[in-house]
Amino acid sequence: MAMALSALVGIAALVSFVCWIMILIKMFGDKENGGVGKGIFGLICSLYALIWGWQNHGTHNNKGVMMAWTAAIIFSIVANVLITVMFGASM
Amino acid sequence: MERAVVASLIRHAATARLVAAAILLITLSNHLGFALWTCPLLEATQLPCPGCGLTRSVSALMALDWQTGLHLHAFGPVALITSLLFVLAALLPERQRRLLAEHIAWVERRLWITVILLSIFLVYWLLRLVASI
Repeated sequence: MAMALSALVGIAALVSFVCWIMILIKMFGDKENGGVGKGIFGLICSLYALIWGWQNHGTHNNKGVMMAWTAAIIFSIVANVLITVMFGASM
Repeated sequence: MERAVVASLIRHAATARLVAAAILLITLSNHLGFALWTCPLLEATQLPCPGCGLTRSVSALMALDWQTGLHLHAFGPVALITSLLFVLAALLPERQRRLLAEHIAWVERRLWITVILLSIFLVYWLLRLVASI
């Protein structure tokens, strides 16, 4: 069970990574709400990229990407907690 | 490239409050010993992103452990100051927050400080990447 969860966490990590890159591309390309400075901020702090993505999802029609990224993050947090609890309980 | 990056983020109440809340939440969770936020680049590729280590660095600096803080990330002090600016901006009323943003924008445009720091930040990241390979 722990191995299956770990594998799913790995997939969620990949989804997170791809979504982050997609949002970074939008950030760098958006001359009005983004730009190079904010793009680098999003590169340094992926959480800011998440915030920016949600604030501008309407402008860039990004809702699907943001939903996938947010779902991947929530899944990772929950799965990591479950793995910790399961691994801790079995010791 | 727009020079007043931090000012543009602080100027908008929603952005300032969201960023401040995120910073506080992640720093607190880190301080309590669990990672609420994981780096997508690190998780997917095992390579550190430019900001990897910043949260731990800020936590160490806030505990006045400067040696550990700087060892974890050389830009920890910069991140700490920026974090405090966001928290301050989140707490200020509209008028004072806009005034703070104008002051920060003036410093950023005059001294090019954000552009310079972000450039050095990226070089520092590349050096860390090379060191980690």
